[in-house]
Amino acid sequence: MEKKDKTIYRTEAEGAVTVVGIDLGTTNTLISLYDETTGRASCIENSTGSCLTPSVIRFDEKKSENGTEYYYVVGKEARESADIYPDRTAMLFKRQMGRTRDFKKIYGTSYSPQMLSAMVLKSVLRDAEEELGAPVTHAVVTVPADFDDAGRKATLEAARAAGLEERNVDIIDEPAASLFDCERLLNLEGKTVLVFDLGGGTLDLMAAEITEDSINEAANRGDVHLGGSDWDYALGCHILNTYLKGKEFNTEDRQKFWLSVEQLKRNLSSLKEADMYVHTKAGEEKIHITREEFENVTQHLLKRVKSVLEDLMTDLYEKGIGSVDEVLLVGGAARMPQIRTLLAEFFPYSRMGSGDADRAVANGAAIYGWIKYNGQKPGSRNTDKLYEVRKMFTPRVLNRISSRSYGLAALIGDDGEEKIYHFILKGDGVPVSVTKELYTAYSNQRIVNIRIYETTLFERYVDPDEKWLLGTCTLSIDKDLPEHSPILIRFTIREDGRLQVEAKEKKGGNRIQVELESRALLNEEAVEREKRRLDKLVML
Amino acid sequence: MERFICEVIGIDLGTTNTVVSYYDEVARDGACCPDFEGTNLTPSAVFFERSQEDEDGWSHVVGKVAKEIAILHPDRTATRFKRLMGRTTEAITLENRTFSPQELSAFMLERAVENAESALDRKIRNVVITVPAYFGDLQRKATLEAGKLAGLNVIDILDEPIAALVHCTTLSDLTDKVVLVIDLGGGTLDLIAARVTQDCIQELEIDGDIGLGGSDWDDALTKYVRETFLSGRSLRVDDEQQLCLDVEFAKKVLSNEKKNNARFVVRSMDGPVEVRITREEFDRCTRFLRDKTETVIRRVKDNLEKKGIEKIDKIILVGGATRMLQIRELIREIWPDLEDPDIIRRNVDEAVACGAASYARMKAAEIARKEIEAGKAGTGDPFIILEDEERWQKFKETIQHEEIEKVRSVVRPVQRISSRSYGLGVTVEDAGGSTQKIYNLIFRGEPLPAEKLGTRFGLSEDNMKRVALRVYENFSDEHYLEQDETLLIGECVLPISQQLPKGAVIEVSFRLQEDGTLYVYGTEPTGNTRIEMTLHSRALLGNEEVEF
Ligand SMILES: Nc1ncnc2c1ncn2[C@@H]1O[C@H](COP(=O)(O)OP(=O)(O)OP(=O)(O)O)[C@@H](O)[C@H]1O
Ligand SMILES: Nc1ncnc2c1ncn2[C@@H]1O[C@H](COP(=O)(O)OP(=O)(O)OP(=O)(O)O)[C@@H](O)[C@H]1O
Ligand SMILES: [Mg+2]
Ligand SMILES: [Mg+2]
Repeated sequence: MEKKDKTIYRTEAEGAVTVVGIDLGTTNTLISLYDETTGRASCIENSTGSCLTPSVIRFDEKKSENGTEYYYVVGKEARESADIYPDRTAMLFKRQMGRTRDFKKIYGTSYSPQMLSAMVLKSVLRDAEEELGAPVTHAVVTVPADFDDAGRKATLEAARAAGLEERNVDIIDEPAASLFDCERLLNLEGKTVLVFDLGGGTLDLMAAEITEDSINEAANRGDVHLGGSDWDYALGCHILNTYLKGKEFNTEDRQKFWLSVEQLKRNLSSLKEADMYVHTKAGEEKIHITREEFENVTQHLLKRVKSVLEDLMTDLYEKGIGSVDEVLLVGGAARMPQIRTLLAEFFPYSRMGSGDADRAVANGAAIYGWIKYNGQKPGSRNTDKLYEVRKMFTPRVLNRISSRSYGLAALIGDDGEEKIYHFILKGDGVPVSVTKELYTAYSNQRIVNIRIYETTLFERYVDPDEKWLLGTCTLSIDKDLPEHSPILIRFTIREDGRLQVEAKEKKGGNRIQVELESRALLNEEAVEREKRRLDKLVML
Repeated sequence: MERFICEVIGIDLGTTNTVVSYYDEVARDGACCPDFEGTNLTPSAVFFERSQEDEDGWSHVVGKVAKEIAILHPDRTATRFKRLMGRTTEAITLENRTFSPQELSAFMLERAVENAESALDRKIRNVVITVPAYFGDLQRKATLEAGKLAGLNVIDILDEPIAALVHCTTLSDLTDKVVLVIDLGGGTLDLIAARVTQDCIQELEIDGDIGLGGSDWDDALTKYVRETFLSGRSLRVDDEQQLCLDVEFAKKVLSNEKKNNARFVVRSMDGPVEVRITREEFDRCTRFLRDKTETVIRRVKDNLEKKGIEKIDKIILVGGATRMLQIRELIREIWPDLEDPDIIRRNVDEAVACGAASYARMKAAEIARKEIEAGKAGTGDPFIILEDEERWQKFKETIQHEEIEKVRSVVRPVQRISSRSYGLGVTVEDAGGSTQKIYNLIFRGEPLPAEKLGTRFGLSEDNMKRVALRVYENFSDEHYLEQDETLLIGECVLPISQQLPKGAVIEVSFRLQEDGTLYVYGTEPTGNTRIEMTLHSRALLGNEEVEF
């Protein structure tokens, strides 16, 4: 489809860089650019004329005399053929970011979630570059607020594999990003806002207090395995079990079935009852579903939403925040009336608002990116208009909190019981850096094993559980020290939520920066390798 | 600094899409408010659903969902009702209830306002609504009525091409330029040529075609797909629905220079059919539509030349269908000398709404200024447009410090008569006896009521049992034009009671009333049988120009 008519994304500042905001979603990815002249960010359309590029990849092979060539297709086409070619289609890989290195094997090659995300990133970056007629050098990529350290790092790895330089990429939490795009921020000063983002794959909640010059995160909660696609699944299963028992499908009809289920679900957000046509080997069937029926068979999902909301409210109470003034709805699946009803019941006294449910995150990221990379540049102040724009955004700093607790295994107390000792607690403000003194266990200890944990618990000391282990490292000591010699350990959470751990013997000696050996992450070399692999594949 | 202060928004109530905008004080131009479904365009479609809660048993759903199920429920979905504005009171009839085009438009307006309220976080009541330039008084009144039904305070009604022009004046300086606005939307082609001066927009030419829009390209392509790929196959209703959506999508894909074919799969009862359409095929099967467009554009060019205006400085393209390559090429072909920057094609979908928003801002400032002056004179506030007095005061304060941006008045060098006709004709056999041509009885631009009595046609054969009178509506002021079934508005049969020789004469009369009702009378030579038919002309020409 024809590109949206060119808008000139003018940057007046000397040395200003081209920065995009990217909402790398479980189901849809969007890319946005901030336009200095209008002070607005807007999303760029892909070649199908939509801002939403489905985060779905299909691999194709073409055999010729010169061997086999591999291609990949990103977006609508890949999504629509997903059920015809399940073996060579990858989707919903965001859910595995930082959790595994092997998401799927296609044509004998294994792909990591990072690599697949990089492909989606490349696709939207290409759209942006076509629109701009210039290369994109800087980007802000969003992640769910509830993402853990590995998820964040994996996202950065994906950006690097897509060809962006690490120092030119930042990540920001999705709910926070959507606040940056929110005009109503003006009316929210002094208030507490809850951003409720229910996307295709993730539920992401964040409460923040808005002041004249800052957005202060107060609590965040989420469920990276709860999103619109779960509603599709529940509805589809219900239809299969209730109306199509024993019916068989051929592959193509099956593909259409799941696409129609999603369509039906969307229609039921507006209609009280809707029809769906299903083709099975036995013929055609018209299935009539009411909204009530849909809501009944997805009740268990709504319950899960509710429990996350309850957890969030508990966190808020503990911080002394008893109520939310406004609820901001974001994400495609937040359009479902059952969600709106639930929220209205949950927050009877709060105002309910929805901005641009699909584009807010990407636009906000573009604005945040512009502030970060261009906002302080001299020269961008040269018109009144720009000054006004800057006044709207620049002074508002984002004060984040950590979405996890971080600590290490240590022997605690006189009886030396092993516990996880949290340096940083979930909910602590970030960026943050905490240094503590620990002691060697015996004299002439040459090796200190450091086991780093990431948990969702709030207590300072908790019982260790290997499921929380983030990584290990060793600090070697090259001289003999007496028992109980001090070792300094520092945990730092950077602004983008990534963790860094350093260890050092107090009285001089080695200082190590911990390279977290997580199963799901790639090392420097591997990222480079992925990047080269990706460059060789042809994107259609 | 707030982005929205003037409290009036602009709404483009289109045949296929409705768009709502506000004036952004920071960007100093119009900005769209997204729809609940996440795009700036809300499809102008209304679906009715049974409901216990509503008095008459029906509740309505508008927008994307309604468009996507229109074919599944043809009897409960209304689309393209803008074409009926002002000419009928029945746009759709459900079992127990009839809805007028005004009511349906009111539903669209309500949705637009909801979208604006949610984006701007404020209650909205004041609007500027746009209408096609050719809309006559009746249609404009109907639009106002729709606004009232939606509970809105309609500050003004603005012509769509003018709105697009206003939008472009916020982007670049058009002073002292002759500008041609070509708006090819989903349902209509609307053209205005105007000279922009410091303080007014002086209209030079208005033309258009009410029966020509993007949806006609869809229809032509659908027909082609059926004939070429689907002959002898039958489709289920849901696949029919999908076909319509796929065809429109394929058309859009072909607007991309880089794509020279579009593919999709049609499911038929006899298995799936892969459809692949090349640009060349698309251009071929829609050639007649391109030609129709060319005729209208050339007519405007010729008429301007007759007035001594040889040079057009800028061409503004708006409307989704101007994205089609064939249209862009057509413009190049007609004006080979025009430089690229002189063909403005920005925000083709949103330009009308954004222009309406900018106009709304100027209008509000004008009203506020009058109020301030009246206040000084001690006569009180004559024009309160706001319920929220405090905000209105704030707006008044703001405008006192700004350079006065005058609303360019629209000057029509022509007398405004309430309405004028479209061309109306019947098919008769031409001299050669083979091809059918339309013979116009009433020409485009005749004042109403118009009448043409006793036009005589000879029978083409001996002993004919009946003669079919097929009535066509067109935009022509010529006697003859090529037959085109898309122009057909009605048909009736005149039975012939006696055996008559070839060449015997029948008489046909037309009477067209101000509201668009057309009476057709046919009499056979013996005078024994006559028929009468009442039709509705789909459009009346408004604001048609007449030299003094
Ligand atoms: N009108 C609607 N009614 C119900 N669900 C909808 C509607 N529109 C979109 N959705 C659902 O919203 C989901 C996509 O939302 P969105 O694009 O916000 O997700 P995402 O950003 O890709 O995912 P995430 O934020 O979880 O990573 C899909 O499951 C889709 O079916
Ligand atoms: N990329 C594209 N290529 C071709 N046609 C397109 C494209 N995008 C939109 N259209 C067509 O444009 C039409 C809609 O245009 P638009 O929204 O301007 O109409 P409208 O304002 O509702 O109608 P009108 O102005 O006639 O009342 C549709 O027929 C649509 O198919
Ligand atoms: Mg999302
Ligand atoms: Mg239009």
